[in-house]
Amino acid sequence: MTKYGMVIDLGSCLGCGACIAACDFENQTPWEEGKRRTHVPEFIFGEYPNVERLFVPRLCMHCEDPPCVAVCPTGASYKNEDGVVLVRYDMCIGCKYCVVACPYNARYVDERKHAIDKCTFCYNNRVSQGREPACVESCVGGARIFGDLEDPNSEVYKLIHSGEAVPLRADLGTHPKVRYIFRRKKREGD
Amino acid sequence: MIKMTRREFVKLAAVTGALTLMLGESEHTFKTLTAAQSKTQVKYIPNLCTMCANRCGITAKVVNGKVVKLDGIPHHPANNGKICARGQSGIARLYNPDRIKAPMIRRDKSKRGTWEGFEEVNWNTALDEAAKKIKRYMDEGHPEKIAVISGWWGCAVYKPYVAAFMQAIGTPNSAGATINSCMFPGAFGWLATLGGANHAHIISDLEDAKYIIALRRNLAGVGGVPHSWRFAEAKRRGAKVVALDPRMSETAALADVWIPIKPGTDLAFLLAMGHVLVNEKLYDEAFLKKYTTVPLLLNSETGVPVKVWDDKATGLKKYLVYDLLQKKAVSHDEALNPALLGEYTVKLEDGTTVKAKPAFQVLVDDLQQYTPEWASKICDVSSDLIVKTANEFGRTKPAVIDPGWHDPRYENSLQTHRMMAILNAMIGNIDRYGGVSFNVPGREVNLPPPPQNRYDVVWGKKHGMLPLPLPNYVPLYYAMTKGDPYPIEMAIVIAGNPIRTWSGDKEWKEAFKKLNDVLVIDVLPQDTTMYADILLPDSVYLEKDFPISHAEMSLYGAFETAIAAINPVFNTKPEIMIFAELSKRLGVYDKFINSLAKMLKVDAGKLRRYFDSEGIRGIRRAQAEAYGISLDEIEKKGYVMFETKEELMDTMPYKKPLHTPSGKVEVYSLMLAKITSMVGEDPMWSPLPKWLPPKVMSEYEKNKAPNVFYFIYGKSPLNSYTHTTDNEMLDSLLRPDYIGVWINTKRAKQLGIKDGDKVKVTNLKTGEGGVTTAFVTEAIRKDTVFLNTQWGIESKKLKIAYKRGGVALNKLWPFQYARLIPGMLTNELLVKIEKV
Ligand code: SF4
Ligand code: SF4
Ligand code: SF4
Repeated sequence: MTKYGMVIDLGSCLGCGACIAACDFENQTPWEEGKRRTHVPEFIFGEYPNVERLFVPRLCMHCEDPPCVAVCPTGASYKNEDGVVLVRYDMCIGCKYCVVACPYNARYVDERKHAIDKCTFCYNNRVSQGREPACVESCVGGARIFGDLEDPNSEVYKLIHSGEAVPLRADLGTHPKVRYIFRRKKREGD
Repeated sequence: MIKMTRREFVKLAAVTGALTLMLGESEHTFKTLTAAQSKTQVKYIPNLCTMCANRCGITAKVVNGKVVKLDGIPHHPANNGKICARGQSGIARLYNPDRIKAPMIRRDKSKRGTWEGFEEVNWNTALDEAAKKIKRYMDEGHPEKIAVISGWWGCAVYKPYVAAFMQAIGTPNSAGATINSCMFPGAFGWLATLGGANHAHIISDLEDAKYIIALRRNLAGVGGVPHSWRFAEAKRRGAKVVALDPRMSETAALADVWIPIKPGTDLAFLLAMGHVLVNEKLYDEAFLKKYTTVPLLLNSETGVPVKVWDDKATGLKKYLVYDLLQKKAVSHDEALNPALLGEYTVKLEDGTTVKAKPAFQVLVDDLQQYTPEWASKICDVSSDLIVKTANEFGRTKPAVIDPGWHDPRYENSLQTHRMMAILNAMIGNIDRYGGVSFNVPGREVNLPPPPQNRYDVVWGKKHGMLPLPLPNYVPLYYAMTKGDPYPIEMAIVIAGNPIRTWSGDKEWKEAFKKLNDVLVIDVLPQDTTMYADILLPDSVYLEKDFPISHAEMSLYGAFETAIAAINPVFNTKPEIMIFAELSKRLGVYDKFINSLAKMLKVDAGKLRRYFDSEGIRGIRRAQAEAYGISLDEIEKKGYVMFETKEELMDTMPYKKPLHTPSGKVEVYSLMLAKITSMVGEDPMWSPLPKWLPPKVMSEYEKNKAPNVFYFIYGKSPLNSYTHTTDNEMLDSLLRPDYIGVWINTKRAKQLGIKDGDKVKVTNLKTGEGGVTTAFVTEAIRKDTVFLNTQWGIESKKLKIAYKRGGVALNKLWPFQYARLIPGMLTNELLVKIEKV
C-alpha cells in the first residue's frame, strides 16, 4: 500500500512561485488567481524592525477524511487507492458542494473543463510514472518534499513521525496528508 | 454546469483541448484518453534557459510539435534539476503573440521612437539592406563608426559570436551594461583582490558554508536558481544567515538575522568587522602570510611599496617583505616567516635605509578608527550586533560573505566589494569548501587588454577614465551625439535594450535619434526596437541550437549545450545565422569563421565545413571534436561533466597563482597602487580600503522632508530583465509587492498614502520619474523606498507590460557616473514620493 503525502518546509520556501508556474503548465490550469491548484500567499507580520515575512505554499491537503468527497452527490470526487483525492471530471455536475465543504479552499471551477478542479498530486501524469509532482521537482528552495507516508525510509515519513511536520489546522479533523514544518525563526537585531 | 457524456468528452479532448485535457487529468479521464494519446508524439529535448543570465539546464517536453512543459535537467551542475517561475514561463515567451514575427524596415528616420512607418519585408531584403548600411562604413574605411551594443549575451557565452562578427566587419567598438550599470565597479573590487569578477568568475560555495553574510544582493529571491537552491540547501544543513538590506528581501526573510542597514553604508559595517577581526586576532595568520600580499613592505613615510618588480620567469610581480627568520627584507617568495606586524629598517640596494611596515600593520592601524561604535552611527545598526557578527564570522568555520552580482550603486561600491573580498581572505576561506571559490572560467580568467582605438579608451585618455577590459558606455553617448572622441554613426543592437535600461533615458533617446543607421536584433518589440531602421527578429532559445559553452554558474567543470526543441514559430532566425549571413553579404565570411575558430579554439577548416552543412549544430560538432567530448552524449544530456568540485577546489592560490598581478590574494592591491601612483590618492581606489561615505548620505540630511527618501531598487523572482515584463504567465503571478514601490507604513501614513494607492516617484534633482502603486509595509526602513524593476515599458507593442505601467529605472537614474571607473551611481539619488 502506498499513501502519498507532502511535507512543506516553510524555512526553505523562497516565495519564488516556481511551483505555481510549474503546476500551471504541467496541469494546464487557467493562468489566473483563484483558479490554480497551488498558490503561495505571503504574510508580513510585526512592526519595523521586528518583522517576519513568511511564504506559505498551499494546495489540496489530500485529507485522509476528505469532507469534499463526503458531500459529493455523484461520486465524482473520490480518494484513490494511493490516498490521493481526485475528481472524475466527466461525472462532475458542477454543484460546488465540495468547494464549500473544503476547509482549505483548495477547489475551484474550471469553466473549460465544465468541472471542479484541484491538485491531483500529479498522480496520473507524473507520480504513477515514477516522477515527482511538477511543483516538487521545480521547487527552487527544495521546500516541497513528496513521498510515501507508509514507507519508513521516506523523508516524508521521517519528518512526520519525528513530529517536525504538522498539519495546518489539525483541529478540523480531516487528517491532511500535506504537512508543514514551521521553523521557529531566531531574530536578532535592533 | 454542463453535463457531458464520456463520448462527448473524448471528442472535445481530441478536437479542442488536445493539450489542455490530455496532460494532467485525473486517473479516470486519463484512461479514457489512452486511445487519443497513443497518436501523440512526445519528445524531450535539452536546452538552456535564457529567461535570465543564469542559463539553467532545461528539458523541453514537446508534444506534437508544441512545447508544453519545461523542467530542470536533473543533477545539472548549475541548477540541480530546478527552474524558477521565469524558467517555467519560457513557453509563454515562445508563444507570445507580441513577438516580432518577421523582418521589418523603416525608411523614415524621423519616426524613430515610434512604431510608425515600419514595413514587413522578407529576410533577403532585410539582410541585403542591413549589409548595405554596414558596407558603406567599411568601404569608407571607417568601420569603427559602427558600435555593436548587446545585452548580457555580449558579455556571457555569446561573446565569441558577437566578437567574431565585429572582427569580421572591422570595428573595435562594442558596448554593454557590464561596466556601467551591471556588475562593475563592484566587480572591480573582486578583480583587484582575487583576479576575477564576482558571479562571472567568483561564486561562493554556499551549500557547504556554516555562516553566510549576504549584502547588496537578494540571493534567495533573485539570485537565480543556481544560487537560490544552494542558499536554501545551506539553510537546511544548518547554516546561520545574516542579511544586510534596508528592506526585508526574500533573503532577509529567510535569514536568521535581518540587519536593516542604512542604504550605502555597508562599507562602514564591513570596516568595523575588520576592526574586530584584527583586534581579536580572528584572522588566519598562516594564510595571510603565505597567500596574500599583506606582508608587502610599505614605506612608513610615503605609504607606497618599498619595492615591487617583475619576475620574468612567471610574469608575476615580486615585492619586498621582512623575513623574521633571516632578519632582513627579502623577496616575498624567499621569506620563511614574513612579518605581518611591526616596523622595520630596510636597507636598499643603493645603500640607503628606509623605515617600512608590512601592509598588514598599516591595515591594522587604519582599521583602528573604524570602531563598531563609529560604524553604528553611520549604519544605524547597534555596535553590539556588529561585534557579534564579526565574532561569529571569525569563529564559525566555514563562513563566507557572498560575492554578490550587480553593483554600480554608490561611489563606494568598489571599496565595499574590496572589503567583502578582504574579509573573506582574512579568514582564509578562498577556494575552500564553504568559502569563496571560482568557476571554470574564473580559473582561467583571460581578459585581454582593450583595443587602443576603442572609443572609450580614446575618450578615457582625454577625460581621465580608466581603460577597462570591457567597454564603458558613457563615452558612447558623447561619440554618438558629439563625435567625441570620434563619431559613431551606426548602432547594431543585439538583444539589448539601452533605451530602457541604460542610465539616462533622455540622453539615449537623443543619441539614438542622432544616429545614421540603427539595426536591431531582438525577440520582442522592446523600447529600443522602436528606434530601429531595420528590425531583425531573433528566435527564442527553444527554437534554436546553441553551440557548446561552459556551465558558468557552477563549481563543477562542465560543458553544456542547447538543442532546438521546435522549428521557429514565426519568421525568425538565430543571431549566429544572422551574423553569418551578413558576413557573407559583406564578403567577410572567411574572417568571421576564422575569428570564431580562434576564439572557440577549434579547427577553422572543420568549423567552416560543419557550419556550412549543419548550421549551428556544426559549430557544436567542431567543438566536440576539439574538446574531446562525445557529441552524442552532450546532445542527449545537455551537459557533460569533466571535473568534479573535489578536483577543482583548494587550487587557487595554493597550487596555481591567482590572476592578480602578484598571483596572491591582493589584500594590498598592486593594481590600485599603480592607479594611485598614476592619478593620485583617493579613497575610491585606495590600495587598502578606506571609508568613503555614499554621496547620497549628506544629500539626504540636507534635503530631509516628509516625502523625500533614500532610493533602492531590485528585481522580483518573476522579473529579470525588461523582456520578462511581457510574459502572460509571469504577469498572472504578480503580487502587489512585485510591482510598485515599497514604503514604510508610518511614513506612508504621514503622506496620506494607503496600500495600493497610485504614487508618483521622481528623482529629487532631475524631476524625472513616473507613476506606480504603493506597497505599504513594515518590512522596510523608514527613510528608504524600494522600487521593483524593470517596469515603465513604453513600447505599446508589449501589450502585457505596457498595461502594467510603472516607473522605469532609467528615468530615475540620471546620466551620472563615478570618477575613473564609471559606475552609474544608481543608488546615489534621492526620490520624492507623492500621492497622485
Ligand atoms: S502536486 Fe501537481 S497538481 Fe498538486 S499543486 Fe503540485 S503540481 Fe499542482
Ligand atoms: S517553488 Fe518552492 S521555494 Fe518557490 S515558492 Fe514554491 S514552495 Fe516556495
Ligand atoms: S534562474 Fe530561472 S530564469 Fe534564470 S536561467 Fe535559471 S530557470 Fe531560467
